[in-house]
Amino acid sequence: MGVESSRRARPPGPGALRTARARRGAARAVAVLVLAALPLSAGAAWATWSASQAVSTADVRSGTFGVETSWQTFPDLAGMMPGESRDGVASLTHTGDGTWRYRLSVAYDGPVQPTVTFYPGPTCTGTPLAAGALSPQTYARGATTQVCVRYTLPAGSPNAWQGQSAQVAVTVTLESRPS
Amino acid sequence: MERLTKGALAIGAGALLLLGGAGTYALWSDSQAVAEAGDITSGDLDLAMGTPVWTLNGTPVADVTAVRIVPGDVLALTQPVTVTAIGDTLQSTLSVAGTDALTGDAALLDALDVTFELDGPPSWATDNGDGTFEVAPSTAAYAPVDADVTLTFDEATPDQVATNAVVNLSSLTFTLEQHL
Repeated sequence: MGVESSRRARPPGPGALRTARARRGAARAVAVLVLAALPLSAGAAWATWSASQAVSTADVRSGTFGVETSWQTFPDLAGMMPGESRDGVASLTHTGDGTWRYRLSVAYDGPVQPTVTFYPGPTCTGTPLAAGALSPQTYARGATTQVCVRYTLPAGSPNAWQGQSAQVAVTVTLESRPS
Repeated sequence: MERLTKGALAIGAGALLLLGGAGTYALWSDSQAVAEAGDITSGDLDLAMGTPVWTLNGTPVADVTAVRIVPGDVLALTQPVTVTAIGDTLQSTLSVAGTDALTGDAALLDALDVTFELDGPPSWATDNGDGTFEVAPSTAAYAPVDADVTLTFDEATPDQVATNAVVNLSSLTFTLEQHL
């Protein structure tokens, strides 16, 4: 018993150190193996099952979209007097694809600025369509419609407008809209 | 103890050891098959497609290649899909892959939004909220379900942007993929 106690109290000999080194070496080896195993494990994630089927091999094509306008009835705006109105009828024809609606706007270039009122349809009757507002109706691909444009020189037009002229441009914008 | 006696005991012990060593060749043994239950069977993961139907704004389209989409249009593919996800612990995800790999006109690609939905969805598919569905494992193929791939042309596309353009859908795939 006494001999065993004295052996325990002794510092570890060279053999014990070798064993400790070997254990540390083993620990490093385990750590290396674990580290090496991680990439292998991560790599294994790439090998899970999968199945695929094509959705479609088709091409999807967008259409074209355009508008052609003309005066069906040209408005003669020469020599207008205060309080007087003149009408013109514009024809709008869609080219391309899709259903559509339209907006109208007006721009002036010159001192005289008559009031411009738009009426959907070939006559200037019914509910007017405000400038910039979307037409109440949706039109088919390639359809043609008319817009009546009423030019009014206000009754209270200033004297400075006498003998003057202006360019009044009406712009039609067609917009693709689902029916 | 006398030397003679000690010597006799040592010889006897040596003889016993030899006898004991010789006896290791005759120990009893028994064995059983490790797996008596029979074969081990792996699962199955598969996708099968039915006949697709294209619609434009809800109206069936006979030939999608003849369609010319415009802003605001919704072009939809309804594809019957049969999902097989057999495996006791199989975890898998159903999705439409390749939306980022679509090729064609850049402006039209910008204007198109591609989404994927499963009709219902069925009880075995859980919407992950990111356009993918978690598929529960089963013991047989599920009944076909309609998978909807929808292409929406941004209605705010201005002027004549993306007109007369082409996008190819061949990179789009239904994908059923196992994950760990």
